[in-house]
Amino acid sequence: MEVLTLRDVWFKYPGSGEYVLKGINLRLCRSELSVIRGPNGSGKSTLLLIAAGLLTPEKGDVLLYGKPLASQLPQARSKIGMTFQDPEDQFFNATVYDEVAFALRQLRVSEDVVRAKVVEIAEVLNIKHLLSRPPYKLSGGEKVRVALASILVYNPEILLLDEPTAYLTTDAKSELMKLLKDLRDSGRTVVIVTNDSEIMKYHIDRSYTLNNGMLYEDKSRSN
Amino acid sequence: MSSITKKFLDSVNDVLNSIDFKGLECTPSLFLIASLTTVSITSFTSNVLVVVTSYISSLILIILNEGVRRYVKVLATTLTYVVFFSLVALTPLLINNRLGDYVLYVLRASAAATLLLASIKTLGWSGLSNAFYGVGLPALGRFVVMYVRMLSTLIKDSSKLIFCRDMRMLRNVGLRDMLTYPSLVGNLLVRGYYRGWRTSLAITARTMSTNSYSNPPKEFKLTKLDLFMTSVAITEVVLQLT
Repeated sequence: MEVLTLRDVWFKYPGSGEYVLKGINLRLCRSELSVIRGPNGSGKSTLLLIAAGLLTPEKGDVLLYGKPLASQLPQARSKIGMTFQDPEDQFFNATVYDEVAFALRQLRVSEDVVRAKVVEIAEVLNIKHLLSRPPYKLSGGEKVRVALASILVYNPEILLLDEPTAYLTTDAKSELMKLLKDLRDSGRTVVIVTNDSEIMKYHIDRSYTLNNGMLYEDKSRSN
Repeated sequence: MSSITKKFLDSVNDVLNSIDFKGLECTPSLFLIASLTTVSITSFTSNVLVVVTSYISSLILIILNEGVRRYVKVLATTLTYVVFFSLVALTPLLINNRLGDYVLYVLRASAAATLLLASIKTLGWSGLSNAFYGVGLPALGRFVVMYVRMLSTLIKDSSKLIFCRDMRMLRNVGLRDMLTYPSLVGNLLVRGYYRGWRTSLAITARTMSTNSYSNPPKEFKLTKLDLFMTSVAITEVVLQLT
């Protein structure tokens, strides 16, 4: 089942003459783990921002369940979770607890439910001991886990992860990949944007390469 | 040059870190109102009992936070500052043989300052922010959090940039060394712009309603600390009025 579709997407940043993305076509299906690789500056992060509805393409369509994503915002954001390349960029709350609870509070659920869910996800990601600490004082690996917790807590159907393994040790990396595999098996759509070639040794469903603004599916690595 | 800048940044960081994010358990807005009332009365009182009450309250609060040794340090620091500045400002009192008034001034100013520090320490940054939300000043609450968050990031970025510049200075060429540091400001501005842009995207990505993001609802729960601070405030009001 097709969840998120990018159809002939073109994008350039204001003031820049050159297109970062040139006619991107991408179909993301339910229960699939996809990896998008590419050299630095190839537009991987921009592609994720467009898929998350945070940037508007100059040309082309972004569809969520067949309907334009833009027309479903901001409610559709509860279906999409995105982490950023530098996890610190997305932190703005005083404590890890508030950071993780932020999205849930937007959904106007009671504080008791918020607390229960935050503690639950903190236990899964092993960050329970960090809940009262300021997020920007954590180590790189801890920040990645907090960033992940802040989106997993509201149970989005699509996970867009920008370099999630960047600060992780080999053990932490395989733990994260196991978690992502479990999420994929439970029906989530997971997209990882990375430069980390090690990630290819884990079981992934589709692999893409973004180069020079164009996206190619790596059929030999896709299952 | 870099060592002076580094020392300055480190001392700002120390000030920032001397107050924890998470303070002691209390209802921040009530605690803040009670402590500000107490600090205000102490600042203008001529009643020695009020001053003594404030000293005792700040002692209790600091002991609850960090112990007696810390209290002595805080008290010594505030007394030093108060004596130093009052010597300049209140010389006429000393000249006119009004030593009693001068001593009372020093005592009440240091008591008020110590109590204010103890209260902020008890609230913590996050408590202070929540207190501002609680008393209907959300902008100030958000400012406190953003200030602490951004200042810390700014310090970290600045240190990193200074080290990067130092690393590539292979020989000491005097003034030209120093001329590389103003470029730090430009770098920080550009970094700040992009970081701000990404943070705003991250906030948008997790904002699922058309309402702007809201302050977490805080439950009103009366703790022992709230009762303590409220009774200190009431006691001082009564002492001042009688």
